[in-house]
Amino acid sequence: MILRTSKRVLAADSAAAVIAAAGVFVAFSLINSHFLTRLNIDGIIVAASISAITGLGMTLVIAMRALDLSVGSIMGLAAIIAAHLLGEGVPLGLVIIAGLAVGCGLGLINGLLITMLGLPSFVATLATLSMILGVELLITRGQTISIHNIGFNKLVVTNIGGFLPVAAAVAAAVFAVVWLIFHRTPFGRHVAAIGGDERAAVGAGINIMAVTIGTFVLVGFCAALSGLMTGAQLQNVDSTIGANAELTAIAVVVVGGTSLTGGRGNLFGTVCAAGLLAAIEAGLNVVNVSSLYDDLVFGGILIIALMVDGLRRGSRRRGTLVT
Amino acid sequence: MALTEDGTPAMKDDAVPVESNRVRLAVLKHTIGGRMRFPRERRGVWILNAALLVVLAFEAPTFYTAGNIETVLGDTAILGIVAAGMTVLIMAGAFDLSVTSIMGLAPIVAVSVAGDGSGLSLLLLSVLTGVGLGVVNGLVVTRGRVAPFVATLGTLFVFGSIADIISKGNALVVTNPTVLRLGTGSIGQLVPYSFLIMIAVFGMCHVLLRRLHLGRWVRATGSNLRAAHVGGIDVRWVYFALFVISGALTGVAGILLSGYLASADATQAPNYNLNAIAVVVVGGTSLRGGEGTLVGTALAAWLFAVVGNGLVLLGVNSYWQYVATGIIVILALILGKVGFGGEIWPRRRGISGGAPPQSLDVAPPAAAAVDSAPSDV
Repeated sequence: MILRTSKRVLAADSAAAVIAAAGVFVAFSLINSHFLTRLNIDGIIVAASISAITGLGMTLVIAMRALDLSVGSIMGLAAIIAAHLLGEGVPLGLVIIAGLAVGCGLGLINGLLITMLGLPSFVATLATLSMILGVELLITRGQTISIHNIGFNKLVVTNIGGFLPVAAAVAAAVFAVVWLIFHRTPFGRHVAAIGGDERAAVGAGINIMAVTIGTFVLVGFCAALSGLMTGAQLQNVDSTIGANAELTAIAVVVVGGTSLTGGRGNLFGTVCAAGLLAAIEAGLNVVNVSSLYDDLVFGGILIIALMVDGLRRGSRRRGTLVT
Repeated sequence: MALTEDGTPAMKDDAVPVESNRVRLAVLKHTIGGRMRFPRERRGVWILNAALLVVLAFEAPTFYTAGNIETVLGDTAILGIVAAGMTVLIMAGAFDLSVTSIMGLAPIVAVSVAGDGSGLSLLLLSVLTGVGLGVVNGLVVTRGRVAPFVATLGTLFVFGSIADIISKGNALVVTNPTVLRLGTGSIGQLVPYSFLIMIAVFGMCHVLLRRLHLGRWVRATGSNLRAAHVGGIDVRWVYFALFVISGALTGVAGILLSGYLASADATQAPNYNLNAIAVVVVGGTSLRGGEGTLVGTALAAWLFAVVGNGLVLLGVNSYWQYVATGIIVILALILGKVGFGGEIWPRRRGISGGAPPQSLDVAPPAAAAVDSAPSDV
């Protein structure tokens, strides 16, 4: 029984993320007992939730065999607009709605650029990445905007029932919604179909335009949500929020077991990989290793996980070279 | 060009059937495109360059002073060198996202090992470090069987972290006069040394693509990986060689940038990976692989430098540069699609108008063809 379960875990696409996350947690708790303190675990959960939310949206985009490089900029712009509006005295609810609307709007723009103009998603979102960053800088003039709204901060870091940070609840809700969309709706199946074989999807009568736009709006929404949560957590917002977050998000998705070949998405793996990344950052901090090593460990895990995966598949199919 | 060189009998004997006016038109378009070296893909970068140069002539004549041209050429050079390697890689269907980190790590290794040494040793060390990192990329891709996009995404993190660790997160001061001169000096106050190096790099890449077997293998690999493999091309070797070449070029660019900045910093080249890809794409190289243009890449690198410089001369807030960059990427691609054989807002021809399917995991561009909506199927 246990053997069978463990075999199934090992064979799953998300095996690398699950095993690495578990290993990192165990290793750090053994090395230093401070790793398992409440404060530290809460920090990990909040950080993991934030990167998981963007990662969940990105998983769908990658399942559609596209990429969204603009998520980092969308995160930043949503946070900056929220901070700006809060400074103007706009009520918190409206601010959050505005921030999320910005994300959806930018996602819509991405989707339209890709479908109406026929640009590759990589290039279209590379262009919007740059443009949105420019808008961020024009709004902030390169300065930092402070948020003086305690409620906003509490919305992210308060512990529900003294146990679970709100951020985790938000991430869980996003996971549930995205999982339902991806696995239980025609839209989700269409996303996977387009990623698997676009011609076949066209032939099957799938409205590629609508599905593409919808997916990019969804990832825009997720990115904006992450951005708002980052802003709420940090209380100080500038244009460096979300810098390089697009590449981190792609890495999280890939470590989670979703292949860039499209057609499949592993939402659970993405969440595990986000937890792994957050645990590495917090853990290295606890055991007093400089944060300069974070990327070394995470990048190393990324490469090793993929190499193991490649060799595993390579032993099955010797013909193919670079998958 | 292929058509005429093949000496299609129909053309030579002038025995073209009446109904083949379409063929004639196609041949005519082809000759215009091929002979005049003004193909559709590169149209965007030409038009944008011309438009900008005209606008600058009227609005900011100081652009055309020798000193300013020198600045623009210098800005072109470093990005151009990285983009040259990226062009060849993209033609083979691969990406190198780790160039950002290599550009920081290579000069950091050089400076920390031979900071007081001769300029030549610094230069060599930087290039050798680039080669070594390229070897790592190549091994991960070819032996580890990891798709280039994600493999170099991983090494982006790893190399960047190593650069941080070696430099302890600080910028290392570069004092070597030779390196400083390479980064900032110029011939006759007009042509920077770095630009000459860029010309040499583009020359070498041209020879590689057009005069060596490797070049043919690159294009074959990029257009269809499996067919190339079946056709007897050692695909692994091609990828390995290209990553090493890209690493070496990035090492050169890194030490030039350090010379220009007078410091070696792990984060001295932020976003050079995505910017270099943007340059390659604006230049008219398709992300689908198999075809590409070095001239276009060089023109696009120059275009990006002109935009940055021109906005400053026009007195525009420098933050607009980011917005302008994005607009240029989109415009260049659109301009390449409208008109002659263009496919913008195409009549829905079903799938035939779409992109060829992608054969490997190199990631994104497949969504290119997402526009072929199914109304007509």
